[in-house]
Amino acid sequence: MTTRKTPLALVLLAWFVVALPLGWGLYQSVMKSLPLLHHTDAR
Amino acid sequence: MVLTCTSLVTSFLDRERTIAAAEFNRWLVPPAAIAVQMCIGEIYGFSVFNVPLTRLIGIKTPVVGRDFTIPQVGWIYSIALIMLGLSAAFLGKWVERSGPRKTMVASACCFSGGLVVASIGVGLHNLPIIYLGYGAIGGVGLGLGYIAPVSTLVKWFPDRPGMATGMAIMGFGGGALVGAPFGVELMGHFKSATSVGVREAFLVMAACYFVMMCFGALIVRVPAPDWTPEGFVKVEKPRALVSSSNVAADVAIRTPQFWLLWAVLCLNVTAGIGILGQAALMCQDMFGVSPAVAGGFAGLLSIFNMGGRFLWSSASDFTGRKAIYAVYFLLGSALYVLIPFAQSRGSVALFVAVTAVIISMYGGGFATVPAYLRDLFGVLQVGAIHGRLITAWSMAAVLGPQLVNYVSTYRKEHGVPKAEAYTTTMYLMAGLLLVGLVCNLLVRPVDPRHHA
Repeated sequence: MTTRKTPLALVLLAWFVVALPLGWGLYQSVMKSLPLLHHTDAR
Repeated sequence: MVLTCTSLVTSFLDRERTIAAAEFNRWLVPPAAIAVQMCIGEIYGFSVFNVPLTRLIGIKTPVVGRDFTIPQVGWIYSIALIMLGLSAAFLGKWVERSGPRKTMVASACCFSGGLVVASIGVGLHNLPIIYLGYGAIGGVGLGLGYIAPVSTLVKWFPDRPGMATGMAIMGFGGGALVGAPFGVELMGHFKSATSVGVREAFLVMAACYFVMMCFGALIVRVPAPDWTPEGFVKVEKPRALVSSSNVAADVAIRTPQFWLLWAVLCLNVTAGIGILGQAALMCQDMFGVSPAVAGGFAGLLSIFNMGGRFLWSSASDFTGRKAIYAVYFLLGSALYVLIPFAQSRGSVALFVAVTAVIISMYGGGFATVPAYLRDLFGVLQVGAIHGRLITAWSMAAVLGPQLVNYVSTYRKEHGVPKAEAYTTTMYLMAGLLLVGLVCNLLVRPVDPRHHA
């Protein structure tokens, strides 16, 4: 078996690549949920 | 020349080429899994295309008799989910043999290729071509992409299998969060006086998802057969249900444990999907809120669906799989009974809180089941066994929404006020979860004669 240490930057980059769209989607959903939160606050 | 290129690509996709080097960092594998799952999870957000697909000719309003109808369009989603179950069931052993990279690339080709074919179908206004593209070809991509990363992660995290499967399947839940607004943005961008923008949106999505899924395929690795995480010590006396032996997929489906888990998954999903699919309408009917508020409710549930996958499944590493499913079923049935109470009190906040927890456990049920399978049947063919179990999801995807729709419509037609039309359904769901609890409690360790 070969030995090659994975660069930490590569691991962080990979997480960043998937976190970016997920974060955007999460933001969009939170924004979409705001009318509901305002509605429950108002009651 | 062409032959050389083909053999180079083929060998790059081989399982042997993905075996990790000694000091490979296993934390590079979860993003690979999430990249694939997030793309195929777009199917959860498919509903944003429903209305535009019924206006391909009329653009602003459907042309009766020429434009597609909502029930016709609804079949695209159903075919895709049926194909997901079938392909996961029948191709599971091929997935285990071929390894994750080849499977992920095959999944990317099918999923994105399906979108391209569907785009052609939209352009030609031909529904069978859309069924073939998004439903059949795309559905095969869903099945392959769903099981490959899960079985890979289970092998990388023998110390935390629940957390590992939770991370992968969280990506699928997150797919709806990304896919739905992405689709809406693209349609908005391409919309014109002569087009609703669906055809163009499908093409752009095909390209984006293909790149993202290939990124996952590029960085994915499988551990060497003798690899264990640093500092990992096998527990001498593991929990009663955790086996260190392996069971072959063909043998596993002949055990009662497989079918009990099949029922467990089917019942948990049936109960959750019934609410998830009807969330906006239920909220409007029960509390008379506006469509915008109801839409916000559906968005909030998607977040809990995603979060529950990671949190509950990770928690199962500490509690054990059987115990966490007992929580899903017991707490779930109690919460379902609370929904009519929240409605009678007019408490939207209680209703939102209760349904959010229910949906988090629905997601948790999906994410915990591969780890449960790994405990019972070992890691050898866990992907193939998981693939066969996924047929329970296909069944539940048909059962759950039908139950909620049928019972609530029946009650509305028989004079029950809209707000109270869901009461019986909620009690029915609570009952289904109690049946699931019994199935879960009946799960025992697999008989050693089945071990490979």
